[in-house]
Formats: sequence, structure tokens, C-alpha cells
Amino acid sequence: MACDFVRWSEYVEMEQTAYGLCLFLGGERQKDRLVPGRQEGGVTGASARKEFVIGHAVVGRGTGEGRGVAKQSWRSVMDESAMDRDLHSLLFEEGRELVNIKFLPGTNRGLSPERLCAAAGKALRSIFNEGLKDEPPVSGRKKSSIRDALAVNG
Amino acid sequence: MSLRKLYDLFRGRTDLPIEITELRDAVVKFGPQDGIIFQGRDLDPGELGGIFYQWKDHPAPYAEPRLMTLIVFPSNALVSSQRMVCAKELVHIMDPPIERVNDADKLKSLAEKLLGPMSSEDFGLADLIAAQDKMAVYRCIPLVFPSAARIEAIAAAEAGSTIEKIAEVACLPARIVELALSPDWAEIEKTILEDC
Repeated sequence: MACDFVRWSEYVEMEQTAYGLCLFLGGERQKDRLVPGRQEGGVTGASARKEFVIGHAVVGRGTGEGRGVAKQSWRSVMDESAMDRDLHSLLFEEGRELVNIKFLPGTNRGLSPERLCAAAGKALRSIFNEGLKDEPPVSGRKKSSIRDALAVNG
Repeated sequence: MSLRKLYDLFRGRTDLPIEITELRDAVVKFGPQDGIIFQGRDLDPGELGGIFYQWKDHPAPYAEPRLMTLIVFPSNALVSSQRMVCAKELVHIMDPPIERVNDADKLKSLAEKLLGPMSSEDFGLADLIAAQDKMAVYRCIPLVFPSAARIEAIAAAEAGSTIEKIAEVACLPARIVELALSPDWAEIEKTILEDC
């Protein structure tokens, strides 16, 4: 089986325990996407053997029946298009050697990794298109100790 | 360069606000950085609050690579929030090598772990990196609200000053000042300092 999106060891484990968890066919969502961590799920009433497809690679077969439990800690699949092509290009294809990247995620419930990465890609692309410009935020306040400031103002 | 050295440098400061450029100057003093750039962008607060991006430039063959850091903050947020984002992201300059996200797999994992539910059953590098990333907010507080200033703030609060007035002097979000003045903060700060 092709294993473009999982390590071989993960596939082998999935062969033993996982069942009907995360189905993507041609990019369409077929079942609720599996989130990282232990996940209970499955297709009720299903027959013994199911193939499941992640992205465009067939990655394994479940061997359970009905509801199954994924015992493998499993990352949801994000291929390059899901990460956001622009972010991927910025980070890995434009001559800059990535040393470290971190995000402060937004506050929307249900914010997806794809939306986060797309927002980051958009912001970075806009900056690199315009050119780097150092513009740190400045408080605009005169320095004072709390003791002095609040004694004056009460 | 370590976070502890930065803490020691700012610990006794009472003159507020601590400007982001002061933090940057201190970081540059301690370690090799060719450029630390802060740049604002309109960010949808529901999707993205800030970015820390560090890379090496190779300006010419055989030339020394330059270590560049770009911190993106929300220009459409209040200045106090902008400053908090910058301070939090600046702390990542001190990330130990194991916590650096420097390839596509780690980036994917980080995004998922940051947004996914915390699970006590997941153990792995991605979980560690995401957990430490969340800690960065706590780690930057002693830099923008140093211990000596905090002592003055406690006295001011006991004398009747409001959190909002104190936050205004420090140019920080009120909720951060509230956390730093909470009874738990002394222990939290002690833990952070012991870890670095």
C-alpha cells in the first residue's frame, strides 16, 4: 500500500487496530476528520474490512467491525495544499532556510490548522511582497514607576 | 543566550512601560542576531494573533548566512495587545533546538496540536513543542512586568488602584496585569525561572 502520508510503522499499527476513521477521497471530506490523539470512531454496521484513504494515497485497511477504536495517536493529514501553498512556498521554496516558526492562534472555536496556516501565509506573503520594514509597536507613554504614576493620579 | 539572563536584566526595573525595543536591544546584546524585525499587519483575531518566523539568509555563495527574525503582530489590535504579542513571540528567540519548528512535518503537527484538544494520552515532540509554545505567554510576563514593578503594583492595588490604571501605566492588557498580581503568580514565576 502506498504510504505517502503516514509512516510505515503507523500503517502497520493501523492494520491491527484502526478502523474506518478518516476518509478523504479526492479532497472531499467523507467522515469527520480525525483529530490527533486517541479517537473513537468508526462506521457502524460496517463489514469486517474497510479501506480508508487519506488524501490521495490508500494507506491501510481496518480489520474491525462496527465501531472501532483507534489506538494509534494519529495526526490528521495535511498535505501541501492543506498547509497552504503560499506558506509552504514562503518557508521552503524561496531561498530562506527555516530555523524556527511559531504562531499565536486566533480565538475562533473550531479554527482549523488550514485556516491558521492560510492566515499566516497571507500575512507573511504581504510582508515579503512589500519588503521587510521594522516598525515595532511603541507605547507612546512617558516612562514612570507605578508608585509615581498612581500617586500623582490617585 | 538564555531567558534567565534577560530576566536578570529586567528584574529590578520599575520604570514602565518596558518598550519592545528595549527587549530587542537586550536580546541582540546577548546573542548573534543579524536582524530582529517587528512588522504589523491587519490580522483577523479569530484566525491569527501573531507570528514568529526565524530564518537564515544566504546573501551570496560563501558569505556568512544571516540569522533573521520577523515578528508579525496585529496592527489592528490595541497597542497593549500588540506589545504583548511581540513580547511573547520574542521569547521564542531563546527556544532550545528541540523546540524549534523547522520543517513541514513539525509545522503541521504544531498547528494541529495548538488547535486540538489537550490529551494526556499523547506523548511526542509535537505535544512538547505545542505545550512550550503555550507557555511562552507566561514566560514573557516577567520581561514586560518585572518583579520590582510588580511589587509596586501590589502596593498600589492594596491602596485602592484599579487593575486598569496599573495596566495603563504598564501599557499591558488588563488581564495580563490581573494574572501577574494574582496570588498564584509568585509560584508561577518561580516555576518559570527554575525552568530556564
